[in-house]
Amino acid sequence: MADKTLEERVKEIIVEQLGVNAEQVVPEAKFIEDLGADSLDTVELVMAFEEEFGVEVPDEDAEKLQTVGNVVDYLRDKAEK
Amino acid sequence: MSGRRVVVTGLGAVTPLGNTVAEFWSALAQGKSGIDKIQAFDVSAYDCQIAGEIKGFNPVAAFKNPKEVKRTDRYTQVAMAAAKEAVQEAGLLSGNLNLDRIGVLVGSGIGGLGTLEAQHTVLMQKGPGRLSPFLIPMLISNIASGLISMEYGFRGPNFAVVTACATSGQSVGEAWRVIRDDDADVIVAGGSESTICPMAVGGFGAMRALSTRNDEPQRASRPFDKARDGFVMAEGAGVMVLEELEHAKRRGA
Repeated sequence: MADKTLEERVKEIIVEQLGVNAEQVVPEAKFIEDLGADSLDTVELVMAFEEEFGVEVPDEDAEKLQTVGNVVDYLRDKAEK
Repeated sequence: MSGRRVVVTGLGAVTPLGNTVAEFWSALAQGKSGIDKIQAFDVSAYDCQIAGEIKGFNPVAAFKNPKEVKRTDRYTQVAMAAAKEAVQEAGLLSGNLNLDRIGVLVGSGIGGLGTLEAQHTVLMQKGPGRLSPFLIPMLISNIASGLISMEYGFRGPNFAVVTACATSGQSVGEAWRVIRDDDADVIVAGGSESTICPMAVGGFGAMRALSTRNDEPQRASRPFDKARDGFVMAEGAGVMVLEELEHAKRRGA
């Protein structure tokens, strides 16, 4: 079985957490403006990424993760380190 | 002011006997019992193993935004469903009503205990960093009132009575008082509870307050009976739309 790509895993989490359609989850989509998240949703979303990818996301990093693309880049960067 | 009369213009219920007022009333009139062996969790270690559980409830239908299901305790979900039924029956969504004059007073004796229990386990096993940001808003006893008002844009008086088993009754009384005193024309009033979880069954069990007539669930709740042996817990929500009489007449409610 082929592993899911990082993008696919991120997308699945966003769809699940925010209750949005997969088509809406494009790299440039902003969590708050485009995907209807509020401040508590974004906290929970980051926790879900931490859980799924086994990483720690400090609050100062979390603040910068405003779009789907930001998250994918950030997690890929973390994975390569 | 003292001349203001209050009438009921809508009803909603989610109960172990049915998830609408019609189903509930029909089952009640037929003398049915909603009490049975607890399905929500493994009760083998508990003295009391019976309760009135809601069956086949779909929380998604209670909210405009399905995302809310994940962010609410079951006590709020059943409150939302009962409120929706009552608000629809009262016709509060049609016409040009002044939303500043519609309030919500749906209380809960305990609030989101099941959420607290689940999150406490997370805290113990994984630490504070894994606690849900929704723990507090899911737990607090006035969140049902708050979310009902947000769902429909009701901007009138909003609070929650927390008086144990008297909560729903007192909520209706307070709603009447708020309308009589001219602080609102309409109040969505009632109560909600959903605590069929280990902490509540264990906690009330520790008080020796629950019936242990486990082999006869349908005959266990028998207040004032010579052979009574405790109360039987159940979950559910009941909501009424209370309205000032002239206001209700003017809009043909």
